[in-house]
Amino acid sequence: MSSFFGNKRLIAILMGLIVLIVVMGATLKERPFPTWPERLVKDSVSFVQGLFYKPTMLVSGFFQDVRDIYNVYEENKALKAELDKHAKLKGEVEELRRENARLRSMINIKDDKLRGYKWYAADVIARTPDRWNNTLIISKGKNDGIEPDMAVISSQGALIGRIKNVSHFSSQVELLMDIEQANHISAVIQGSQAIYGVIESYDLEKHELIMRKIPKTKDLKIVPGQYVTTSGMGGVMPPGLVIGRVSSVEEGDYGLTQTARITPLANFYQIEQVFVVKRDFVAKPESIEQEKEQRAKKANK
Amino acid sequence: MRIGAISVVMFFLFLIEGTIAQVFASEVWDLPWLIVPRFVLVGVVFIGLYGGRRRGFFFGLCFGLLYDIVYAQVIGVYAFSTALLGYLAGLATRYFHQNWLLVFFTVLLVIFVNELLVYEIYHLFNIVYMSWIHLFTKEIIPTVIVNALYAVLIFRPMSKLLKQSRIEELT
Repeated sequence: MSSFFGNKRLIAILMGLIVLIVVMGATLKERPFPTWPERLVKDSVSFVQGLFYKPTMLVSGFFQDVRDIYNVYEENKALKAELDKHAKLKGEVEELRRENARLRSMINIKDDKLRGYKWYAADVIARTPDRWNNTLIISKGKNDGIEPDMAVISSQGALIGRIKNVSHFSSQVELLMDIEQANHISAVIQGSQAIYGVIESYDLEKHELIMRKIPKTKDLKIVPGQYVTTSGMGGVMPPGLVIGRVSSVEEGDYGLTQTARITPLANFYQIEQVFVVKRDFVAKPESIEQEKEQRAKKANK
Repeated sequence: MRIGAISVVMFFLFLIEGTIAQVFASEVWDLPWLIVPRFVLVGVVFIGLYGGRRRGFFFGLCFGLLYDIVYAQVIGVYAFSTALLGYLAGLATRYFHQNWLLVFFTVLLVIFVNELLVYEIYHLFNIVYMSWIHLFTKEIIPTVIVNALYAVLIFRPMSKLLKQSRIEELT
């Protein structure tokens, strides 16, 4: 057994560790456009994998159907109760929409550029099998107009993540579970009053999103069950994409703010198709800086 | 050793890992634990056991790197762990004979070490955090058991493929 960890092997393992840490350190940062060997590998693997995904989903769809049959009766009852409410809501929405349009025209606001977006449908090719990287690979890439940081929603319309990096024919979607310190989502809790906050992390054990930095004042009351949507402030995510529902509210870290826990609405498994949302109007921080530079130049002249 | 045929099989396992993960994910079935398919790692263990430690290391490095590029976001973690464990699996044949019990226990041990190693590296770089109890009871132990059972299931075809290539090599 003495030869099991001989000198040579120990040195090899140490060298391996050093290489690992160097490579990890180099690739740890945000890389929206991977290097060309990576893109080549990603594109070719995604092409082959695309052929496998459809048949597997067919098989799983069958199992899902069998499972669904058991729940049909209960679901039907609940849905019927829901339907009456829905009709009333629809009428209300129509009325509000008309009123909104009328009021807007009264004070002469043109079409809201910030709200507009269009979407691309994309097939899901694969999902990362392990726990620590929650990403999807989808079948559209740079050639189809996908850009980094675009919001991605499921076919039911709930937000599931954002584009992490793009290759030519495929791109990688970072799911909501993988929110790190670097990329927060500005969100708003919908109630009688809009309550703004930042979704900062995901609790892997309870499967909940955590929204921090919610101002703590008397008239802002968060009730479990309220819907949470994107706020559209900053970045490329348009406003109004549904994220989830509030499940509980607690004190913030220092007692100055509140923290809400949110159950995401999207089903992160068995996704066949997603929509990538492209916002019509994106305020890029670079362009603002460029403008400032130009102004400074003009002023100097 | 028919490197070509084995590479094709390994690549197939690699692809299946990405598609099957979503279909049979335990969240779909409302189970409280998470099972990660480690088909490629099991394949690497087989190669290490039957083809020697060098081949185990080489296949581990290649497929680990592929895994890092395609699925993960940070490169290096899986390349390191899979290559290391492929090599160690190759060492195990020195001390034991090849039978399904050896494969079962090697896979059990390798998957366990792999899960722990990967978690530790990611945790070291502050990418993930999870409490120990949750990590062990809900993630690692179910994953280890399911993958070991899977290894026993594919023991026949895999050993046939690998032994066949070994005989060809000898003659």
